[in-house]
Amino acid sequence: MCRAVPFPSVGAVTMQTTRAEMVSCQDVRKTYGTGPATVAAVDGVSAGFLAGEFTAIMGPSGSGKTTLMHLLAGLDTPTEGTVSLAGTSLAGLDDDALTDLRRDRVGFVFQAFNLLPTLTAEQNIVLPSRLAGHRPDPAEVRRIAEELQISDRLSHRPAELSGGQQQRVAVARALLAKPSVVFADEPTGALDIATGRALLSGLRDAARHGGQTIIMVTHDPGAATYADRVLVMADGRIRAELRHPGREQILAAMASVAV
Amino acid sequence: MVLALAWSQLRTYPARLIAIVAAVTLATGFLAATATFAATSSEGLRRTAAAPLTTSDIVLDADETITDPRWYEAAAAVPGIRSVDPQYARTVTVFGGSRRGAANVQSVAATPEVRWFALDRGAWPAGPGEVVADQRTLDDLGVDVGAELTFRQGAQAPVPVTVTGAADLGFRPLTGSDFRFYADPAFFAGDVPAAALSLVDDPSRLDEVLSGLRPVLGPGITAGSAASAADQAAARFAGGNGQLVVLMLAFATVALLAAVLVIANTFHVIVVQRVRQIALLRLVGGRRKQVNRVVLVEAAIAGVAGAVTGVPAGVGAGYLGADLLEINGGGLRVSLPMLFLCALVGVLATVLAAWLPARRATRIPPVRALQDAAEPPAGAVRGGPRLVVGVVVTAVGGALLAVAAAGASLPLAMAGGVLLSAGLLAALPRLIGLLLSPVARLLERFGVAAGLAGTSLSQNARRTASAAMAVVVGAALITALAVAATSGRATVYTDLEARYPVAAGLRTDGTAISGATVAALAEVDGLVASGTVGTVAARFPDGGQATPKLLAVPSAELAERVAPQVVDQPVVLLPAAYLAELGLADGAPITVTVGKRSLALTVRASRLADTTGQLLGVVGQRALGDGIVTTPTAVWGVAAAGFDRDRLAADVNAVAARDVQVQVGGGITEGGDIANVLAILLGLSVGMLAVTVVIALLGIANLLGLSVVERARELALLRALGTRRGRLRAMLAVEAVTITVLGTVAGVVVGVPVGLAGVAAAVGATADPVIRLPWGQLAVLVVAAVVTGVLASLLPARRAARVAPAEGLTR
Repeated sequence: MCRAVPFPSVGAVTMQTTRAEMVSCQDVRKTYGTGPATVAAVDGVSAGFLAGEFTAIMGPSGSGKTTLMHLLAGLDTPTEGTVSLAGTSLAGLDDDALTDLRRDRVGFVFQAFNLLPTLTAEQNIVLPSRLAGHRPDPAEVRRIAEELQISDRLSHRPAELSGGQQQRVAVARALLAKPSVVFADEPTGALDIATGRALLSGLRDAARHGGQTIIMVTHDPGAATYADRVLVMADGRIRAELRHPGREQILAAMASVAV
Repeated sequence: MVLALAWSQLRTYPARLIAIVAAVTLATGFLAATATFAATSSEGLRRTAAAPLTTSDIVLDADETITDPRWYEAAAAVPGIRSVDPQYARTVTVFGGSRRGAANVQSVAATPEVRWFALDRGAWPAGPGEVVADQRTLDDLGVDVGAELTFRQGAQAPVPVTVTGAADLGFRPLTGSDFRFYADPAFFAGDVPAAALSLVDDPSRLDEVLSGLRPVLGPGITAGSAASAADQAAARFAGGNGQLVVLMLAFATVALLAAVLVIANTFHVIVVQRVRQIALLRLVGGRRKQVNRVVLVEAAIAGVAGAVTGVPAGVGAGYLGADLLEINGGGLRVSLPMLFLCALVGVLATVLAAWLPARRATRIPPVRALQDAAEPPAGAVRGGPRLVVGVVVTAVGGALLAVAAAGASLPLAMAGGVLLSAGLLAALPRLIGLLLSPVARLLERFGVAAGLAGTSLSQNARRTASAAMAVVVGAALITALAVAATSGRATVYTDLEARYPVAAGLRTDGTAISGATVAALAEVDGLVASGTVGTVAARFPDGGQATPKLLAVPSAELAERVAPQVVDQPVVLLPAAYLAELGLADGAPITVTVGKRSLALTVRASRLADTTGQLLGVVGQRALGDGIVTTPTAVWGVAAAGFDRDRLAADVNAVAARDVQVQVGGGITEGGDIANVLAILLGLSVGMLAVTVVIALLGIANLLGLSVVERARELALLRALGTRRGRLRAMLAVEAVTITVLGTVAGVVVGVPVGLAGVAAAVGATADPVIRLPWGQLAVLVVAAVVTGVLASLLPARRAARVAPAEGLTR
């Protein structure tokens, strides 16, 4: 999707839109409560996310990063502003259209409770395509499972898998459908360091080689170093944008927005 | 995919669905039992009614105008007719063993092929003094083959008979009398047979024979094929099981309703428990419709499982019921389409019950899969339009019931009852929900455990209320039945006591009554006074059929009790119907002739004159004067108010069984039918209690079990903060008992007026309704509620006590 006109500047950082934006938002606000008690979780954010780009959104607790991700993924509706995903404006889509968009174009990886406990690993992996009424290609499932080193665990239920294995099953599910966008919410939160690093490498590969857009919310600066760029949020606004930052740069940016 | 998802849920958590499957099993079982009972008993009744007609080819019927005892003989000469057997029937009083009672005596055809039953033991009757009987008759009389009995028809002289054989009919014939005998045609000498059974030489030429037969028969005699007569007889009895089937259907409906409540509640909890799973399904692309279908398919699978177990169980129970009533003579009859329908209703009810929870599931936002937030409480109950509508409908239903009770209209009462139930179903969950906060506050006074239980109940008010509703439905029905039975019996008995001043009377046909019988009656417990009654034939002004033929003079002591008006005055007590026929009012003069003497008396209407088994004019000894001699032909007994009717009847009949000269009259001869119906009502209410207890047990145990899983962290926290295991168990027991007691009390509150209104509507036209509450049964109901609650909490409490305190501190 192409945008010819640059966004007007809102907030501290103005995002310049470029070609091949897979996800974008314009002037989105999300407020809770009414009257004087109104709290803006996201307070006027415009951002674009390119195809094949791995973006990390960081910020202290309550900075609005998770809410922003929910808005971008169409899981929440903004009070103001517009979001578009994979070339479709989310405004005015009914629930079924949103669901189908999620099913066909979006993958999710998050901290815990990624899998349906009653289904086996394989059933979990093929769930979105089965929901869409497709027969997933068994060779493709095997290839992804092998890549993620879970091929021997496919017939197990989540309760019989370790945290890392569960997370990799979730990643396999997110990758099988070749979604345009993968949203990750603290994906390494429940993993040991080695497993977490492997997962992040996998996400980076998906962006570089698969051309998938990865949007990851994290507060772990180590995890954020895997990203192509890092957006730092505070008080519902984007305060800084870093390209290929190192750990120190990220820590400095985080420290600058801390109160 | 939807099916696979639903199946995986069921396979992983089978225990969750036990309550659902059990509830469906009970409900479909009830339906299938009703269907099986109806089919089996209909066929049994048909067989029973048609049995005597199945062995012959032609039936000849004579109407009342025929007076020739040998009218049937003309038929024998018709070409093609092989045999003609007259069919006689008499109703007699049988004396034998330790009992007496009404007996139906039918003739045994002389032609062996026409006899419709075979003998088990002994020989066919061969003379006027010989009879055979079915085994049940012999058992009831306490005699066996070879016994000597006495038959007495009306006022004729008693006849001795010998039982020469016993037959096993396999069912209870529909003769309307206590005992059944089959005698040789010679026994009926002089009787005009009402029918005759005939065989033809060639059954394929039946129509030809019939057309040849008809012109030979005189007017008043009809001939038809036995097969069509059998069908007609069967059809007349086809409705004989109607009332029972309707009652069973009512129970099935209630069981279904209670099951729907339990199922809806269980699914509601299941959905709340699975919020994150469902949100995840939505997150990865499950449409609302797909989520909805997963829940409904799960319900359908559970429903099918329940129906598959319920239908065979119901078929067994239904057949057993028909067997118990001995109306299964046709063997087991089931209609497959009907059973399929029962199963379908069970499955549909399950799916219907899961409908709202499934819709709730679709409203879970996908973002909930990403959130770690604790589940919000299932929601407090507010009033709202449903409460208003429910209350209005309830009020209308209640008003209709009141009108029906006042006007003694049963259809109106039923309409009112239906409206009332519908209104209460809508309003009660909300009302119970509103009641829970005060209940919680009350419980807090009984210590920490009770306080916690109360908080948990009112936090989940909606869920608690619908669990209680399953109890309400059952308790209300039980209460209504028990109240109707008790009050109905009290009403009928009070009415009988008022209408029958003499509770028990024994009388001869004019001979002096035996002193031993008089003494034996005086000894009967339950009679507060008894005395002989002297009678003398008298002529009263003609008032048609109601005209008495006897003047009766009770002994002085008896007269003081039952007829004080006649003691000192020249008053004659006469039947009200007779006085109405003559157009005489109380106090009018009348002349009664005894022999050659005329007595000038004043009339007064009294029930004493026509409720002892005879039509009498009752006078005092003084009014009669010294010149008229009476014979003591009767003895009357007066009972205390509220006497035990069944016991007195048994005792008096035992006295009467020892004296062939006497017949029984008075209040104890009435009310038996109604008492039987009411006893069945009471029995059914006990059966319903069992069903309600089972459903409540399942529903509440399930509810608490799920709530323990849901509240694992809360329970662990309580343990970590120093709550003992025993206290946790007590907490759950208090929760369960609160639900059952609340439901029971609400059920009683609903059931009592419904039961009373039912009684008033049913018997209000003939008697003043007497309100009598079955305190015993109500107490049993409350005790059962408490016990059920404690039982239901046992398993969940064990699970709750096993929660480790550390679980509350992690995560």
